[in-house]
Amino acid sequence: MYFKVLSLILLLNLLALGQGLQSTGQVPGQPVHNWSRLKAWANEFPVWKRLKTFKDPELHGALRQLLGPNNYKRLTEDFGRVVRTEVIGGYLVLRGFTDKSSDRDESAFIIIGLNDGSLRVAFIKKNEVMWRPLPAGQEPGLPDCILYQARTWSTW
Amino acid sequence: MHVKIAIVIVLLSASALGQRPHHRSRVAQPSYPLAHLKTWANEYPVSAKRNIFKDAALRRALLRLLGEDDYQQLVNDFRHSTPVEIIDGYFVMHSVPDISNPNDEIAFVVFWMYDDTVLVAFKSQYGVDWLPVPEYGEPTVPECVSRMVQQLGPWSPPGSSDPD
Repeated sequence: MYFKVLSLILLLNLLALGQGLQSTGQVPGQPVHNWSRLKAWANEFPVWKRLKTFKDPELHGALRQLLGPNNYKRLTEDFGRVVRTEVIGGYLVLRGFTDKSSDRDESAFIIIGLNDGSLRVAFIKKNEVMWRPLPAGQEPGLPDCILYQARTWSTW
Repeated sequence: MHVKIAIVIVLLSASALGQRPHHRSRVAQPSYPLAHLKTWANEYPVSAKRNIFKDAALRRALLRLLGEDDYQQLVNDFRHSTPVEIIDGYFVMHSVPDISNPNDEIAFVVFWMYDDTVLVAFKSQYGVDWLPVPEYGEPTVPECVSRMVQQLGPWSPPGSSDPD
């Protein structure tokens, strides 16, 4: 009887773990991102603790993989202050800028493809935009509105 | 010993269930009449499954602004449309003109998420007709939205807003 109960609890445990994996859109062995759940952040402040933008395990991992630890830290600093999250042309647009505690004066965009699973980051300093993952000076294929915002978004 | 094992398993169960925080997190309940429409972000306004014009608050706001005839025209324009966008706190949706008719009208519905005043623009080859008619020609909307209205739909001369 004891072992039956134990087996049942283990089975429930495995089911719960499985649901956790599904909810992040991850399939073991297939690192394809599914960001569609993040559209719930539309018009919300992306670094509110309860929304856990950077604590989202999949987004956190993907950003660290894209940027490396140093630039990831730089990104989190650039999100010291934020504006409300936008949804433009199928992309979730997160915009942040350094607060007064930082000695740098920089902004950053995180562009999350809700339909294509893509992830891009732009660091903006004195109207110079550095897109990742792209060589310096290049612009990604994104809606005009997003590129326009990046070009004209100056630090506050 | 068995009790210890059982406690460990129960703890593991609890932590596994706790791996879905974003499913449990809830956004703030809307306190503005149209704020709930943000759930339409990146969704088509009219599809086989859903129709945004069935939303009572939006329908009421649009009917108040347009009247029955223009409201029906707007709904008709939205036979084809692109997914809803949220730009700088503004809800933005627009229709897509019929490809076979380059002079077909395009309609825009724009509102700030924290207001119940809806702006509608009908753009034709004769110009852009904003409703309600703003005092100085164009309403205050984000630059991206202004550019979108200028660039999409049939070409019309700049600054040719319908004076009527």
